[in-house]
Amino acid sequence: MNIVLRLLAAVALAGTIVPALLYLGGTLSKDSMQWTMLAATVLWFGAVPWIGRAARRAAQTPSAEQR
Amino acid sequence: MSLETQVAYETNGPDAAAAHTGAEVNEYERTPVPRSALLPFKSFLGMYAGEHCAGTELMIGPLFVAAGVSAFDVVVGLIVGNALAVVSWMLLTAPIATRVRLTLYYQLEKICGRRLVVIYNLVNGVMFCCLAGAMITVSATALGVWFKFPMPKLDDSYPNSVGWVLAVLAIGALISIVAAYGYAMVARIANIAVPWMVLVFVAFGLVALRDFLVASQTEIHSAGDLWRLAQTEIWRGGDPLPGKTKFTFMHVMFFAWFCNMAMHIGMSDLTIFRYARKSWYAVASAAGMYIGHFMAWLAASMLFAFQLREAGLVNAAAVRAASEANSLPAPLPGPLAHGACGLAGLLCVIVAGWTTANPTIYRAGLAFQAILPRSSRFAVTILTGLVATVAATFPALAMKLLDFVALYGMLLMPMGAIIFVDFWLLPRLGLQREYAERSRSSFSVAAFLTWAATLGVCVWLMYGAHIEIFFVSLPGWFVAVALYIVLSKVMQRPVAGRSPAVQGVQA
Repeated sequence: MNIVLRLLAAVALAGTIVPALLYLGGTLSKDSMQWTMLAATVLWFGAVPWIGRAARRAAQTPSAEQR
Repeated sequence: MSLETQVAYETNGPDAAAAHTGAEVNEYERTPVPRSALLPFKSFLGMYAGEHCAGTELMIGPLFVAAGVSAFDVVVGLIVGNALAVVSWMLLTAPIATRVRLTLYYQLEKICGRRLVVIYNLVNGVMFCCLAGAMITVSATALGVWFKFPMPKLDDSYPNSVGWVLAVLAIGALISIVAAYGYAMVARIANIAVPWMVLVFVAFGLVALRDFLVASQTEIHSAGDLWRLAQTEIWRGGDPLPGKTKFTFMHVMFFAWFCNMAMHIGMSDLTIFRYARKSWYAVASAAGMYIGHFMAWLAASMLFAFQLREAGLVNAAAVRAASEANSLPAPLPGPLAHGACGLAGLLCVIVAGWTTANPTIYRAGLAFQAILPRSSRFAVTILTGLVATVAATFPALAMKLLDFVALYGMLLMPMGAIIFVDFWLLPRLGLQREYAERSRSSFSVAAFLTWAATLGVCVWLMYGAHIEIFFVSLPGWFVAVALYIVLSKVMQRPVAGRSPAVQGVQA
C-alpha cells in the first residue's frame, strides 16, 4: 500500500511540473496545463497524508514472528 | 528525533512536536544540547528548503520588478547576496551555536539579563505580527480572484474596499483560530505541501517564460538568446514604478543578504544550529536561499513583469500615463498565480501564505507570552493573530514589504553583534563573558545602550546621511561591536567565579 501511495505521489509531482514544461515547449495549451496541474495537486494532497499513516500502522502491527 | 520536531517544539509548542512523533520532547531550553541529540546534515537541508519557500516570496519577487531592476542586477545580485547570507550563517551563527549549544533566548539572558530579553521579545513579537500580516495579505489576494472585489493598488496605504477588509478579516481570523487550536494540523499540511509548492513556483517561471516568448515572438536556441530575452523583455531596468525606490545591483545584493539578518547576523538561528554536529552544516541554508530567495523570487517577478507588458507599460511615458489615470497594476499574488497556473496556482498562494503565517503568529504569541508568562497561550495567540489581521488590512505593509524586511533585520542586528562580541572578543580583551549572569543582573545597561545607540546611528545614517535603509545595517553592525566593547570596558566590574576564558562545548 505504501509503495502504491509513493508511486501516486511521484506521479502527482510529475503532473505538477511536466505540464508547465510541455507548455513551455509549445506542445500543451494553457488550459490543459492548468487542469492537469490541478488534478496533480488533488492527487498529491490526497495521497501523501496517507503515506505516513500506512508506515506508522505497519510499524505498530506485530509481525508474524513477533506474534 | 528530527530537526523539524525539535524546532517545532521550540518555536511552535509541544503540540506541533508531538504531531511529528507522538512522544515527549526534551526541549533543552536551559541546558546545552547533549551530543546524543545532535542531528545529521540532511535534517537542516529539508528544514531550510521548506521554510524559505513562503507566501512572501510571491510579493517580494514582483516588488523587484516594480523597483525597476535590470536582468544583470537581479540575477547576479541575488546570486551574490544569497551567497553572503549563507556565509553569514556559516561564519557567524553556526560556530557559536555548535560550541555553546544553547537557545538564542537563554544565551541572550546570560549576556543581557532577563528584563532586557523581555524588551527583545516585545520587538521581535511586533515584527513577527507585521510579517504575519503580510502573509495574510498574500492569502487574501487569492480570495479577490474568486469574489472579484476591488483589491489594493501599488501605492495604496489604506484599505480601499469593504470586500478587501472582509477578506483579510476572514483569512486572518481563520489563521489565528487554527494557530491557537490546531497548530499541529497546519504544520503537517505545511510539511506535505513543500515539495509540491516548490514545483508550482518553478511552474510559475516556466509559464511566464513561455508567455514572454509568444508575446515577443522570440525563439530560444541558446543561453545567449535566453539572456537577451531576460534583458530586453523581462527585467528591462529603467525607472521604477512611481513611488518605488530604484533597485540597483547593490540594492538587490544587500536585500538578499540582509533579508534574513535577524536569523544569521542577528543570531536567531542559534536555536537551530545548536543541534548541528558540525559548524559547516550551516551550508544547508543555501537550500533555502537558492530555492526560495533566488528561484521563487525570480519566478514571481517574471509573472508581474509579464503583467506589466500585457498592460502596455513598457516605457516611462506609458507608466506615467497609467499612474496619472490611477490604473497601474499592483503586484497581487492571487491574480498573478491564477493567471499562470489556474486553480493550482491559486491554491499555492493560499497554502503558501497560510502555512507560513501560522507559525509566525505562533512565534509572535510565544514572544509576547514570555512577557506575560501567566497568560494563556491560547488567548495570547488569538490576540496576536488579531493584531496581525488588523495590520494586514493596510496594504502598505505588503506594498512596502522590501522596506519592512530591511527594518526587521536592522532592529535585531545589534543583539547579534552583542552575542558575537561576548563570545569571541570579550575574553581576549580581558573582559567577562555572560556578564549579566555572573553579576546576577537582570538588565545589562551596556547591552541596552549598545542596542539603542546603534539604532540611533542607523536612523541618523538614513535621515541625516541619506543612506537607504537597505544598506545601514552593515555599518550598524560594526558600530554595535565597537560600542559593546567600549561600554563593557567601562561598566564591567570584576565578579568572583569562573575565569573569563572562552568556554563552550566543542562540536
